[in-house]
Amino acid sequence: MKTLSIHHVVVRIVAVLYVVVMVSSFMLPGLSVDSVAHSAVYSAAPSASTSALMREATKEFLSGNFTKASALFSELLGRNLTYLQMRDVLVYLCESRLREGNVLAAESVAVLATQKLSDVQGLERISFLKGEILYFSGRIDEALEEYMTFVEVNPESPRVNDVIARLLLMDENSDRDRVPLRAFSYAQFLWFADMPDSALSVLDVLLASFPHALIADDALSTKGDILRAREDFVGAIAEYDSLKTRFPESHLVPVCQLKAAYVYARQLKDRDKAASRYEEVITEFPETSFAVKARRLLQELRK
Amino acid sequence: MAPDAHRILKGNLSFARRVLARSSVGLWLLRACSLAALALLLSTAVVLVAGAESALTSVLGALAVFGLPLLVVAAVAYALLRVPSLETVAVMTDRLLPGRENAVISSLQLGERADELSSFYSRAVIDAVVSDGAALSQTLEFRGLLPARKLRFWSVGLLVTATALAAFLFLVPGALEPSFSSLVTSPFAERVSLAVVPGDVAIDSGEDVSVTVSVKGSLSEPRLRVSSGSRPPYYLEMEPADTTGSFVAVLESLVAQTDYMAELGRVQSPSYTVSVRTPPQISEFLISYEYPDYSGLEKRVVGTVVGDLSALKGTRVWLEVTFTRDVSSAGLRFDDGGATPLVKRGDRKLSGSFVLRGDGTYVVSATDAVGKEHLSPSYVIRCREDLTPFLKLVSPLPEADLPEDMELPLEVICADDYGLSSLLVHYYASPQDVRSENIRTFEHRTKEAVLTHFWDLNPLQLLPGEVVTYFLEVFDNDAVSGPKAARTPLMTVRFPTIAELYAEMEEGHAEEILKLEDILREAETLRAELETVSREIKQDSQLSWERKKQMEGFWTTYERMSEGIDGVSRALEESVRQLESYDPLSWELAEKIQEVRELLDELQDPDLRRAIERLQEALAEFDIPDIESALADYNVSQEELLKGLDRAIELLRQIRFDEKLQAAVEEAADLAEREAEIGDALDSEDANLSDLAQQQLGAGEALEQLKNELDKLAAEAKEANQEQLSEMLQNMSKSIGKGGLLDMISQASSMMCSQRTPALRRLVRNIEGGLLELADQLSQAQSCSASERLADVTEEVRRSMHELLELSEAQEELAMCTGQEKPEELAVRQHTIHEGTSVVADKLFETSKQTFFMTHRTAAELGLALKEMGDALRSFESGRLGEGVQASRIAYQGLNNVLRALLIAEQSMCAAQGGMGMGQGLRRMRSLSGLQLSINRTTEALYSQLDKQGRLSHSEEETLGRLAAQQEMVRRGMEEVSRALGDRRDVLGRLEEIVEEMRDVQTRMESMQLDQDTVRKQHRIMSRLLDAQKSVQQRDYTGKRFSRPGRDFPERESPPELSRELLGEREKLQLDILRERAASYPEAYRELVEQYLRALSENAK
Repeated sequence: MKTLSIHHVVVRIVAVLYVVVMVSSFMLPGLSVDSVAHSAVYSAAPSASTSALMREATKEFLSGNFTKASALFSELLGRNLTYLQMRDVLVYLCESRLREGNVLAAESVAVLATQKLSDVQGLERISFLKGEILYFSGRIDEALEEYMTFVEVNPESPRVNDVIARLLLMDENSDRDRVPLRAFSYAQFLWFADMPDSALSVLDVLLASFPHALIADDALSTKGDILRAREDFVGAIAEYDSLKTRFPESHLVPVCQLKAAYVYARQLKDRDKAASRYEEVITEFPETSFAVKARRLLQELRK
Repeated sequence: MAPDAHRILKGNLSFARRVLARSSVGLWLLRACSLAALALLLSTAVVLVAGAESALTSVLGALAVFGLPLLVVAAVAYALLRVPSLETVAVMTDRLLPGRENAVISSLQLGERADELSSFYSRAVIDAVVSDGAALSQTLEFRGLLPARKLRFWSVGLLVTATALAAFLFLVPGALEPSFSSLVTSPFAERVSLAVVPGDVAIDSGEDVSVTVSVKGSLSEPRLRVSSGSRPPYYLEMEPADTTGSFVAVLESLVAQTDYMAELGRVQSPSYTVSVRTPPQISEFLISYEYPDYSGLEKRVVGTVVGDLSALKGTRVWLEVTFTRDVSSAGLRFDDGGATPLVKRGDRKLSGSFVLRGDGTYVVSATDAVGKEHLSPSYVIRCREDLTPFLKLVSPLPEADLPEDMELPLEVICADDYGLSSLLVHYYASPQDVRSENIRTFEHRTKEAVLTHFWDLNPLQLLPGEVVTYFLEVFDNDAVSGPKAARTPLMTVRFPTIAELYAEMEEGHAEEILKLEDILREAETLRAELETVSREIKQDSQLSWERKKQMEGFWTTYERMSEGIDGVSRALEESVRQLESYDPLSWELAEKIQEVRELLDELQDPDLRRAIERLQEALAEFDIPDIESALADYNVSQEELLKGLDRAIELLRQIRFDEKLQAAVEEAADLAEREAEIGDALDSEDANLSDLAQQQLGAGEALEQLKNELDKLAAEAKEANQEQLSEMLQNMSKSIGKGGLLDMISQASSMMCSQRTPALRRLVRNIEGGLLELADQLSQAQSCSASERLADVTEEVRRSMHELLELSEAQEELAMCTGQEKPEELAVRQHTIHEGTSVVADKLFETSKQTFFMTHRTAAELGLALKEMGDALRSFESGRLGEGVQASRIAYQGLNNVLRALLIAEQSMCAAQGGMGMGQGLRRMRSLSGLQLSINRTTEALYSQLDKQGRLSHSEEETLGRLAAQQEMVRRGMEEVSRALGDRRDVLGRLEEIVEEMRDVQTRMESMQLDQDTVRKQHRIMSRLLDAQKSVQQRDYTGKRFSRPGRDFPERESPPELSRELLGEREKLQLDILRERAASYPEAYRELVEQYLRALSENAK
């Protein structure tokens, strides 16, 4: 009974945290469903300015300036677009919204895109984004369904491995009514929306609340990845090492060991430690593809 | 002096003359004797050749007897007549005195004429000459005058001829006797005479006549000269009848007038005549056969000269006989003494009828006009019996198991020569209660039938393990001798226990594993041989003739392997069918077996077959590059075959283990049932306690065996790293052993030897409960084993997926390379991915041996991805960046395909990890129901023993406490079941109610509250449990059957030739004979046909 009440408390904390962050993300500027719906008009040939706007929006998108890219793509939606332009605009707009952290707006665009798009490529891209939106927003069952449909409908898609990775993650970590999983997906979303600090906070709360959750090892690994991305290499290595200590049986141990070795080799320029990590992988996980990779990297390191 | 000298001379010369005379006689005597011997020799030879009775014999005999003495006398006389004079002797003497010519002759002549000459010559001179001559004669050897040479020559001649004669006479057969003897006696022989008996005689046609000839005057055998009609005469040699010179010959079966006479040399007897009388003869039979009505044969009329009869027993034969002469009356006489008169239908025609009842012979007796009776030759009556019908039960086997639907399909072939009447099955479950059931009443004159009858054994209400003994009997329609029957041997059909089914299947699968292992070994040998060939081709760019021949045999090997795999696949299909029939709840196991079967079917890869065909073609054309390429293709497919076989073997081992475990579960449940029966019997007053004690001991032995089996299973589980399961099984085994169920059983059987007590009843119910508990624990362990195994495998698959995801990402990066990278760097990366994927592939292959969720196709996809990676690597190494990237993209796609397949497998495994499947859940519910029933019974027994105050004794309270613990166990089990059936909302509600009610009962028991309400609640639990089971089973499992083409068993009147394949040689012959009986062959040929068929059958053997 005691354990149950703690569990309930933790669930509530995470849920509250989740709701707070979701609401904050909802407050971010973005397109309303209506505005998107009313702006979709087709024309036979795009005007020159439309092309220029398209180029500019894409440039902003590729340079990671998603807010601006979103605005430009929204504007483009009101113009006469060819089908291909229309497809690109909707897909990019959806992703931009998502990367902005505006899940609801992204979902509206995705819904609109599903109605408007009819070609396989476009539907494939939007279906993937829909899966991501559902996953990031913690709707695991729906995400599972969407991803499964994606795999079935688009078996040749290059995104299949990403989708499978998600599906596997969800399958593996369905304990405790998926609360830890939802928290983790939210952390991933924050990181995706370029909010690494928030992501780290969520992961910390997750690890503190559910230290023995199945997803805890993924959380540690992701923490390490975020820290590495923030160039806190020592912190990253510490998280990777922590994973090995806390979850020695985790499938992520060799992965994190390789990452740590890479950080030592490339960022910290500590070749000995890097070599030592590679050797550890080779010794501790000899019958794995990680050992093969470690052997190759070790050879490169020793050149 | 002169006269004396002359006298001496003359005397000497006379002496010489005598010598000469004797020698001349001797010489001529020698000559005559030689000639006589030679003549005798030649004469005897002539007689020998010509015969003693020839005319020459007497001539030569006369010459020999009379001529030869004359010859000798003549020779002596001639010799004497030719004696020389004294002067001739003197002249011959002078020839002996060389240089003194005429000395002796002159002396002789002068001496004789001395007086006359003395006037002219001097007497003295004359005397002197005579004296000289006399003196000379005194000195002479007169033997010199003899013809010594001639004497020697003729002496030798005589010796030779005499010897030749003697040798001829004694050495040449017949030379001395009768030839020589006839020769020498012929001049004195008497005259030969022949006396013949019987002389002229009259006989009946066909009779024999014995002729005797007495010979006088000769020892030789006479001959009988016989002539008849226009036929040329012939001679009969006669045999000596006695030593008095009588000889006999027989003239046999004379049918016409015959003349005969005896002959001996030139001597002939008078000619005699044998006259033949002709009796009335049968010239024609007209036979009509009227067959018995049941045979369906039509009336048949035969005209013949032979009166042999052959027909089916009971046939009425009407016979009309036509004679060659008039007869006054006639009749049939049978060998059994019976007779049938023939009615006259004309001067020469008579008829009569009779019914054939058996084999035998008959003759026709006819009385001629003079009243003499004549008998015909004997004719054969062959009475054919209606044959016994033919009956063959094609299926089931003599010892069969009863299908789940309690209907035993009986596939029967039956036939008869004239018709079948009915087919019955006689059977009994207990010899005191033999029953019969008419399977089929055949339509009129049905001669053959192939039918399948589904014999419904439901009315017998058999229990698992019970046996029904039965045999089939078919009757024919024989209305003459009464219906004949054919029976099958005694056969049994057994309602198998499910435990036996599993044990049997487990044994079968052990055999299948051995077969697959053999095939795997063969495939490995084949691979090794092909690798050798491949190496040789690479080294020498050629192939030796011996190697080529060896490779041509590969196809045969492959075919053999393929047939082997087919065989195993069929056996597995049969296992699925059995499971489906006997234990529908085990469809999960059936699905596993089906999976292995499908895997084996997939191994019959058309690619491999094509590769071998290509290899054969290349070998035929001896095209080395083609052979090399075909070998490369073959290697890829062969590798898959090897892996697939390896996996199938491992999966079958897993199935075997599951089957053993299931067999143990069922065995425990069976034992519990047996114990319940013992308990019920104890409750009835008329039970025999010693019988029950025996049953109890039997149950103890079975439990002991189960314990051993559990020990073995625990060891196997430990070996397979299923520690938890192994421990559970060991604990269960311990609970049976010392101080456990076995001791309780032993105690119960001892108590049964004394008397029936409440304590004994309670003990038996406790044993029953313990056994049910054991069954439930085993069931639980089974689920646990499956979950444990599945969890391990799922984890393995997930780890492999993670690795593959990493590799897929790396491969994706490679496939998306811009072309700016160095090829060698790309090659290194590709090499790493390839190597990593190979490692994962090996792991996955090992994992796939433990699970049915992964398909063979996954491994094949992974193989293809690896192949593409290899191609990409080679392209990067040789600087062909474009080709490398292209192959890299395909490899990436391949990896994603593998990931997709693995994801499906992983999700299926996740779904199956609920502790137990639906089938297992239902099975568990069944086992828990048994336990609940046992609890209910014991509770009721306790309730009935409550005293008036409603109190329990101390021991009864202990029992109730134990029952409470058992009730808790059942409740927990039901909670697990309700979790397993979680998605069955319709049943779930009911299950939850059951669980709640169980909880309530448990609480009551724990607080020693035993009342009517508790008992009622327990009844309700039981009733709900049964309802829930029924509900789940009806909705889920009745349709859970594997699709299979429908089977039809129409009854057929005429068996197709295919049916013959089901028969042995003897049975085929039997059937053929029955068929031929019905065919319209002439009766005379029927036996020949049957003999022919038998001969064919022998040849076939």
